[in-house]
Parts: sequence; structure tokens; C-alpha cells
Amino acid sequence: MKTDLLQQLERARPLLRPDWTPEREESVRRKMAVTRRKRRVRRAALALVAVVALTGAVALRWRTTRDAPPADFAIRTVNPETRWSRGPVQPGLESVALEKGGAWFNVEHKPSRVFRVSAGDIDVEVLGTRFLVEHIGPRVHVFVDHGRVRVRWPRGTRELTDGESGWFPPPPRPPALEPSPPPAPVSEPEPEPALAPAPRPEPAPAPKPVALVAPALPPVESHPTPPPPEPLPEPAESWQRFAQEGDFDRAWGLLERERLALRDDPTELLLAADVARLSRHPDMALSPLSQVLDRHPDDPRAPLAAFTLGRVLLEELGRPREAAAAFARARSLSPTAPLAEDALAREVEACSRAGDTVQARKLAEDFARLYPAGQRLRAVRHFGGIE
Amino acid sequence: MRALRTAPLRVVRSAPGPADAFRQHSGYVAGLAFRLLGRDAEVDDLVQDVFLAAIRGLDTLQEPAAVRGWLATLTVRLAGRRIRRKRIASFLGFGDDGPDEHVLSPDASPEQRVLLAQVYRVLERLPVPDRLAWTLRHIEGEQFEAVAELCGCSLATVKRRIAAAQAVIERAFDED
Repeated sequence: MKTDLLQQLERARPLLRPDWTPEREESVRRKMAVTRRKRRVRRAALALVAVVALTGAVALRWRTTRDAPPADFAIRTVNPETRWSRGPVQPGLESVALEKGGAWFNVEHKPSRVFRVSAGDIDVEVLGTRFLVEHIGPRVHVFVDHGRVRVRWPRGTRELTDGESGWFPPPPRPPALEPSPPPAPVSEPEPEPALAPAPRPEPAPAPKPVALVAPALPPVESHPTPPPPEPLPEPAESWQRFAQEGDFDRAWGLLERERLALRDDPTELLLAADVARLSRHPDMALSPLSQVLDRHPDDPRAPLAAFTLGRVLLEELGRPREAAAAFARARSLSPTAPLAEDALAREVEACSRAGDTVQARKLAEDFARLYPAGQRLRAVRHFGGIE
Repeated sequence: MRALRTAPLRVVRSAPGPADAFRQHSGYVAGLAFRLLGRDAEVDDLVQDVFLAAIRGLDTLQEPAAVRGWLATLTVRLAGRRIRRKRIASFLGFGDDGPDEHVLSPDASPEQRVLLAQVYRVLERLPVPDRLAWTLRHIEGEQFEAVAELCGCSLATVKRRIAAAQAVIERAFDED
């Protein structure tokens, strides 16, 4: 029966067809056109209703906030996805909620009120400064360009000052943190890291540049509006994860051991530079910082990269002439920002330490003219020889 | 060494526009609708529904060859929706529940007419997913993989549905 039935169906299949004539096709086509017109009219009517409702909501919101005092702070978002909103104004407190993305905050110092940025359950309170707050993946990255901030999270607080940064919340500390034993040399000390394949026949005389830069990259166009930083990957054993947890030594170990090439992405490059610096390999931070400047000069964090490069060169590597150039670059990338003031001050110091007293004096005079109440004026006068 | 991420390549759209798609494929959709529904009276409405829904999605297709398969998937889905609505209406007393006796072309023999009328009468009693899967396999003549794709389910599920429908149909014909 089964086979017989299926065979009969197969024979009958060609007969199962509608009488689809050109006239019938045209009739359906005309009905479709009428239906589409009706739907367009209906959609337009719905859109009009939505506009009226939205206008009413905006008007209502405007009426409730029009008496709010003007803001004494400025916000510059770092990517188009950034979303922030101003909190209700209270006596002694100005608050902003950073819901998504990242932003630079320029805040006028006012002892009479606290300025607070809330990103998830992380609060960043201003103690008079310019700072960056970014949502990256599940963590929040805070960098202080100038001044001091206090970062709060449910289980702790931390203050950050000039040039400091951190990822929050930090990982919990292990319960029994024993001091590390004094080093007991059991074999010859390893030479400086060079990422060359083992075995090494003899120690290298000086540290070699390591593959912290992606080799043979095609030229990258710089974008006027850089793409938003992507959330860093969170696999269990990635260097990024260790870095975000503040374990920079392990992050560096992974980077060095696996000779990982970095993506040409400012977020990753800056994180790699932090890893190198904070694991006591400052020379290895130069390459990723330089790559941000070379390939992403329009990224809003490029001035920060230049400034950090200058600090590493000046304070950790003793290369003041190159440091001066980096600080000058930071100023040129962001000439009107508070970062520029600090960068100029440090450029004066770098020129002075490099023995370029003429340039140091000239820059010191510029600083005194531009920032007569600048916090670093005294140091600038000292290094510039205009005391 | 991780590859440098690059922006996705822009693909030039080569699928037909709505008017061309209707001209090229309305006959195919009408035939499929006819065999899924088992009645001619609703074919025009279903064809209209399919192409009105298709207009929104044609821009996303990049290959002309994908249009027909995509229209078929839409037809199956909308036919299922139409059959369910009709059953609810019939349950509430708003419509007839008999299959169309004029399902076949005039060239069909009386025996074929009776056979297919009986088959569609049994199909009317089946769960809609089983009915659609069985119709696509044994009336439309599609392979199992194609039926699974058109029904939007796994191969195992579609085989199960077809087997369940086949068992009911065989029992019905054995009783006759």
C-alpha cells in the first residue's frame, strides 16, 4: 500500500498545479500594489503618532530640567557608541552616568561640590582633574591625565593621580599572600628578553626589540572618526585578561613566551604598553605606543599615547631628547586640552635634562605666558632657568 | 600570528528587484502554494502575502539563485500560518473544513481525483508541521535536506514529522 500510494502520488504530481495565467498574475500584481499603498499610508499615520508622542515626551522632559544649572564640565566621547546622561543635580554633587563606551571628562575644580562619573557599579569622583573612563568588556578602564580621582567599586576604593590608570574592579587578592623569597641563583641569570628561539649560545649584550608590533602590516588609513574600541577578548589564559586583572607580570610572561603579535588596535596596543611598563619592561612599551601614534594619530587616545611615551623615555629610560619630542607631539595632537599644559611642562624638563637650555628657556617662557596659574609653574621656571 | 582585521568587502547586489522577482517566480510560488494548501481559492492571497513579505528582504540577498529558495521558505511559512488560522476559524465555526474537490487539473483521471481528495482530507487532520513536511516530500518531491531547510528545522525532526504523517495516511488508506 505504502509504495503504491507514493507511486500514485508521484504520477499525479504534474497534475497538481493552479491555472496560473498572465491575467491572473496581473490581477495579483495589482492587488499587491493596492495593499502596499494602504500599508504605506498606515505606516505614515503610525509614524506621525510616534512623532507627536515623542515631541510631547521631550517637551515634558525639557520642562522638568530647564531649571537645572549650566554644566561646569565638558565631556568628549571616544566613540559613537558612547552613551551618558546627567544625573539629578543635588547640592554639593554633580553626577554623570556613563552607560556605554568611553569619554574624556574636563572638570572645573570646585571645592564646594563633588563631581562623580558612574560606570556600572564603579564610581569615579573628581578631585580636580582630566581623566578618561571607558567601558571595555565587563571592566572599566580609568586613566588620569591630570589631577586626582577616586575610584570606588562595591568592595573598595583607590585614588589615581597624574598618568596613573587602572582596571576596575580589580581581581580579588589571594587569601595568603606570602612575600616572595629572595632570589636564589641556581643557574646563570637569563639575559634580557629577546624573544629569539632557544637555545641561546651566549647572553645577549643588550635587549633586542621584541615582536610587540604586528609585522608586515599593510598601510592603514587613519579615520577621522575612529571605530569604537572593541571589547578585549576574555579567554581564560589570555594576556589581555591577566592585564585587566592587574597581573602584569603574568601578562608579560604570556606575551613574551608565546611571541604574540598584536592587533593594530589602539586599545590593545595601549594595554600592551601598560603591560610592558608595569612589569618593569619599559623599553618594550615604546613600540606599541609609537604604533598608536604612527597608525592612529586621529584616535582620541593618541595624545595620551604620546604623553605616556614621553614619560617612559624621560623617567624610566633616561632619553630626554626623545622624550621632549614625544611631549611636543602630545601637545600638537591636543593643543587645547589640559594634557597640553602638563606635556609642555614636561617638555621643558626634558629639554633641560637633554642640555638644550635655549629651547628649555623658550618653552618655559611660553608656559608662563599660557598658564600663569599653572600647577607646575615653579618646576617649569626651575628647569627653564627663568626663576 | 593573528590576521589583521579588515573591513568587510562590499558586495554588489545582483538579486532581482521586487517587480522582476514577481515576474520570474510568481508561477513557481503559486504552484507551491497550491500544493501546500490543497485548494485554489487561497492561492492568490498566499502569493500576494509571500511577495509583500519578500519585498523587505530582497535587498539582503546577494545571489540571484538564492531568491527562489528563499521565496519557497517564505511560502511554506506563510502557508503554515494560513492553515492554522483557517483551522482556528473552522473550530470557531467561521469556515468550512472540507478540502477543495477541484484540486487537480482537468487532465486528471477520476481515480487520481479521488486519491488526491482523500490524501488532502487526511492532511487536513494532521498537525501543521507534519502536514507541510510530508507535502514537501511526497507531493512536491523534495529531498529530505531541502524539506528540512524549507521547514526551518533539523533533518532528524523533518524525518520524524514525515514518518508520523505517513503512518497516519497509511492507516487512513488501510481502513478504507
